Amino acid sequence: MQAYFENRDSNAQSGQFYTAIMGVLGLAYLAVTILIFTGWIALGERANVSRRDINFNEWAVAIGSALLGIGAFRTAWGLAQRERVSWAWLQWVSFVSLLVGFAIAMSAVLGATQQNNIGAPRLPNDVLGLSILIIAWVSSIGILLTRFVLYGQGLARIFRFIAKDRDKLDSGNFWGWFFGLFFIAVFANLVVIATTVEGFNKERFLLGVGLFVFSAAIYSYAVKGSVYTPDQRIRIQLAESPSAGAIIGLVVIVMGFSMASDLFLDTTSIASILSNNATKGIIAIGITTLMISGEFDLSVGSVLGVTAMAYMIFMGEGFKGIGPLSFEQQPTVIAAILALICACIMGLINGLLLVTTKIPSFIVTLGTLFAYRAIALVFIGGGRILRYRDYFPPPAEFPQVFISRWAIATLAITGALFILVTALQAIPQYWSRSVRAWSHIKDREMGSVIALGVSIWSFISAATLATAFAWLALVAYFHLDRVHFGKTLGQADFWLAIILGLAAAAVITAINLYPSWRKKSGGLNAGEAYSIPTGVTGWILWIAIFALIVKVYDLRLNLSNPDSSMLILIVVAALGFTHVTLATFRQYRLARQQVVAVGERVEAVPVSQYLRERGYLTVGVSAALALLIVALIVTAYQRFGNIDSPLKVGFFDVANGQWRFTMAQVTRGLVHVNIPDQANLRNAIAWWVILASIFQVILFRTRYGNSVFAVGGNRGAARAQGINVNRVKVQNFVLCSFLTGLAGIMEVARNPGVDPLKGNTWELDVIAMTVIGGTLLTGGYGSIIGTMLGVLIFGMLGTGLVLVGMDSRMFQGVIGVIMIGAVVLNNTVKRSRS
Amino acid sequence: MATRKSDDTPLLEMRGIFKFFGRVQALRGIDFHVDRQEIVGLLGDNGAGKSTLIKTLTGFHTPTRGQIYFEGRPVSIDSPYVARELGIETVYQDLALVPLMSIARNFWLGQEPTKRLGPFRLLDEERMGEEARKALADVGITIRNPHEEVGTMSGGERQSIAIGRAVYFGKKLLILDEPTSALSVGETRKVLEYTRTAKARGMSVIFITHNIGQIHQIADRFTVISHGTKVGDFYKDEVDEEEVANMVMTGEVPERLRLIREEEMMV
Repeated sequence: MQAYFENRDSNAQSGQFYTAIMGVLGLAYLAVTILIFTGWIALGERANVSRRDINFNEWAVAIGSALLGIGAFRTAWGLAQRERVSWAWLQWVSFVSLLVGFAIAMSAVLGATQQNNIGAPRLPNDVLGLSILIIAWVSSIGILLTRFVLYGQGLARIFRFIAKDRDKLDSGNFWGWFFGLFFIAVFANLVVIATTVEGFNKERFLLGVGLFVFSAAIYSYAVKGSVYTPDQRIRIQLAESPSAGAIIGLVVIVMGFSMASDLFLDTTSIASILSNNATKGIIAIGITTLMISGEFDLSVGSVLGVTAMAYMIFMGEGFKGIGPLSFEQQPTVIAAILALICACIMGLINGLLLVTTKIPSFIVTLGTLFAYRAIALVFIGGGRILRYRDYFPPPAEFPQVFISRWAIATLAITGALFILVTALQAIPQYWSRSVRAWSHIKDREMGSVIALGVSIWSFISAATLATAFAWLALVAYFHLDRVHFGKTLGQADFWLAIILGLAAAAVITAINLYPSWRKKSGGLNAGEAYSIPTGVTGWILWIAIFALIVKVYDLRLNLSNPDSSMLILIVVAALGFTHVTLATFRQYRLARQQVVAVGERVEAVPVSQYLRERGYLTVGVSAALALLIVALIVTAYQRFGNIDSPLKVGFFDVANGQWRFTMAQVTRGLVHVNIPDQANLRNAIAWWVILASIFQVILFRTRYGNSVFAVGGNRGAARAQGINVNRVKVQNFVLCSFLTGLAGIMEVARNPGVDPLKGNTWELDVIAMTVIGGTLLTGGYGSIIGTMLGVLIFGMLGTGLVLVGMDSRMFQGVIGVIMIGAVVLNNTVKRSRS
Repeated sequence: MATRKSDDTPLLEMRGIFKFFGRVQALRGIDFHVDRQEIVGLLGDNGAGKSTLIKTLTGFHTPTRGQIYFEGRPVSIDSPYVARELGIETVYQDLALVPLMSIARNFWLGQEPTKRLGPFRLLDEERMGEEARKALADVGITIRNPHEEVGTMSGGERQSIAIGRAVYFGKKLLILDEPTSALSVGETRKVLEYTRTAKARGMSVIFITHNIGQIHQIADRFTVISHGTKVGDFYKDEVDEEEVANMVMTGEVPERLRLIREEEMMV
């Protein structure tokens, strides 16, 4: 291929060959699109064959294959022009085709298993049945392996995610083999099951497999000797992720259980998995932070018990003398704060004991585990349970908090302003960066055009985000206590939004395509080559996620109603913009790194200078937009809300209430989200996600986080660089206990009663979750996201094993095996990296 | 025996340092000094008191008796933070860097540049990477990717980065504790080269090692200690490798050097 681009005759034939193949592939994809629109291909039910009646699946497939067709034609054209970038195109198109082929084949297999009365196949319940199945699996893998060794190696090549250095990969790459074997195993097993069942769509299966093998062949050819490949980014991300093992574990578990039980991916089971483990997840955040700094805390279960007890006692007894709950006193808030202070003190004791006595944290916290538990036992007394209802019998309500509507309005406005200010700070930086990068790569003029585009673009996305934020805040606010939202947006607003979205998309595409349009052949650098696929995939990704949400929650969209469609448009646009913008910046960074690698010096343009020179316009526009948003919000509040009366919110609802609302309430019946009543989604999930995001940023993007990693990774080095090791450790203990305290309060809010053994043995669950998530017990390595995956794995195992009919007493045993397996997997990953 | 070449106050002077651990007398009245822009090889057999002396200097131990002067001023170094504030940087064999963190993060550890994001301060990772790479390039160390983990690098590369870091942050005194004992020949040569660069940039270096051949290549002066006392100070041109080796082993000054010293005394 290299030679073909260098215009040597000897390889001209192969170039023409791939040109032809890409042309045919492009035609095929476009044909699929057309056939769907004309009604020849129907996916799922369709009332009548007409263009208007296309369902969601068909839209997705039609758009996807149209894009792929365009990509294939672009590749063919580029190959014919001997354009070097078409090499990357070839990889992209073949890579995506390969995935599509796999998906088609899978859909045939899964379709067969679902169509039949047997439902989804279930794992046999008895030892004999299980072993028969395992033998079937192993033998099918064996057959496939011996027949398709080469094919397996091709898979290994595709999925060698981990190692960064391409040359070192050819021998014994763990990941390549893992993924290769995994896919073959899953595939083989499904084929074994499906072919035995009636209604197996052989044509579709063969089509998928054919496409897969065909694309894999092209891909493996295109990938030879190349620097940039589509899987590169995933691979690097996995390699740099401490939780690679957990990611794979989660995929395996979700796939396995969802095949084994059709109840597993049900809203009700997902809700119970999330709700039951969110509070543990919050504690796990603290344990992760602590474990990264080289310590851990066995006393969290007891801390949780004491905090929950303290909260209940402060609320019930500490405030009894004062009188009934009232707005001014807000006793539940004070009780919660006092309980949290108790938690922090317990953490402080742990930390101080550790640093003063220098006893290992295992022993210190084992001791406090018993000691803190004793506190709960002494205060509550054996066999007793503190119940909220004992203190405040039924006529009394659950505790309420009163919030000024002005405060909410201010918060919403601050949020909008914050985003705008952030955008303001970011744009000049990106501007100067991109100008610098581009001016060193290609001609200056084009560089600044692109940089301008990027600046505007990032601003638009920020503004869109801000608008979406404000919109959601408004909608959520007005429906918190069912105040009717008096105004709907008109049809004109709807069309305006669509036009704006289209225009933005056009701008994005234009910016992406401009460089390759300017220079028709040759000379495209990696950054340029990447811009188009990243942009397109960004959009596809977000549309796909949105489609998934729609599917999962059975959203019935009512596009003719402006309110719901506007909301959806804004959310999708904001997400899409953000993703595409980020992707572009990443690619500019890539381009810039190339400049740096070449060894040219890049002069820095101070931001202040930039602002002086041409920033006033940006500042002015941003300020105007921000003012506009504020004005809009204020006007809305004044017109539609009774802003002076405080909003009454149940404290328990905020802490860990059940999500009883449906999307229909939020959007006035325009979008229906069916959350079944038995689905127990609770607010702790939201808190968990929020806290996890905050701690992920703290750990990876702040000085404090850096010192936590350093303390755990090499105490001596951290100390030598002036980090106060002991202070970091004590702070981490306090943080961990604080989070545990929050979890304790949420537990009380869910079930307002505290027994002396509340939280008993939770510490072991939480440590298991953290370890499964890839955090090293010895410190210095780990991530919050990994721990979140660990929490999910833990929760899914609990529910999944029950659903497939395994004895629930086996649960602990399985968890143990899984935990050891996860650690082994993580270690293997790390070894394969170095 | 060496006398000082110039009349400048030495960068570091330790006078009459005693350190007792219970009954064990680790240091018995050691006088030790480092001039500006000088590489001093600190030599001695195992248990001679090298490490104790250095730990006294870096704040891990406080001397039982004796006084330390830094840039002519008496100082009491009672914690590693004080040593760091003074500009003393120690590169330990295995304690220099955090293996599971990236080069850039290690480089900036404890003084990371941040950028403001509204009310928050986040790490400026781009600047961290960029400047770390540039700073190391200035010392002569080329790295592929500043965001690579240190754990994937060889021992020599790690030592180099630690040295480059000390140079970049304008430290005055660099202490290298057995920096080359686990390194290959080529890597050792590089580390020695960077040590010279550090000197050329105005730093003084204390180089602790067992390998007399190496130290003889780069040191300006040797200080040999034995059983908690100083055997002597010798400039490089006064002694050859073999004599130094003998001194380290026996703890006694050879006849020839003793005669020279006596001559000096008479003058």
